Amino acid sequence: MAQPIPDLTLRDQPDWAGAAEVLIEGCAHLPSREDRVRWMERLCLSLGDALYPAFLQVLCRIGEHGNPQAQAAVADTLVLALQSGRLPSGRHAAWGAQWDASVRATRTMGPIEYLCAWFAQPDGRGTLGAVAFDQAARALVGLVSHSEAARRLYCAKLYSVADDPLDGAWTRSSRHALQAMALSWSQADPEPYRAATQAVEAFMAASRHGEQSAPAATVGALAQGWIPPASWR
Amino acid sequence: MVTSSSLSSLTGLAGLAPRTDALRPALDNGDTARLFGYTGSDAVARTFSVPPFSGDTPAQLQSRFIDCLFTRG
Repeated sequence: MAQPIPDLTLRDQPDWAGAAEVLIEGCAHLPSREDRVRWMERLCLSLGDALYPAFLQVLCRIGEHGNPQAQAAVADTLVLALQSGRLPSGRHAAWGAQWDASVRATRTMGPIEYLCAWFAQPDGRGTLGAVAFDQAARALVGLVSHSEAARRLYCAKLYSVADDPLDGAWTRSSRHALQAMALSWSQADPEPYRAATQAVEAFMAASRHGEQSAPAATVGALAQGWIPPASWR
Repeated sequence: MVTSSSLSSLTGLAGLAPRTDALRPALDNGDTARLFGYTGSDAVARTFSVPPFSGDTPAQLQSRFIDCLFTRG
């Protein structure tokens, strides 16, 4: 298992385009699909969890500015990564938790879920604003949509996350929004950009709806419905 | 300046480094997203195509990728 490289410092002017071209090169030219997935996995692990957003940003740049062949090379690599459970992933605080090494209430999330959690359930690192989320999520969903197999597998992954209330990573409204995204994406136009737009709009709309009905999910409201044990009454 | 260790200390990830509170105010204000390029603006950028194979090994590709974004130690 690759370990994070110690003491990496983000450059003041990161060369996102250069990194994107290296990632495309690896995904297009390493000898086998297994080599490509292993390389991408090790690359992600070498950055460590804290710098995972940088890896994600490179994927977003490819989704925004890659031509169809470049995006397909990366999306095809993600197919085997999805199939084998080696999707480059980062850790985000579980619902209601802040980043805290002593608690470690974090969950491993794939690229799209990570962005969704950062937007919908901000942790100690602050918020990912709506405009930035919209741009990044559309780029990522569009990138994955360049492979029909990757899209199908990722939709199944999102459904699985949305259907698991016991995982603890997501609020009920966030799971509902993820489900809306998966449903829209699975039925969306095959053209990647339109598919991404529809899927992200579905997530945003469901998130807004969840916010409007949020008072029903407050601790106070939950407590009102709680029946203490007989010995406490 | 964002380092893997300083962010780890802020985010509680891995517990790899001592806490660096000097960075906390900036990052708590939502700057993490901006630092990592999540600005929401359409930066002018060239289109990426599939480059010719450089012949680099996976380790060399990894090193090139990291050098584009980070400085070491």
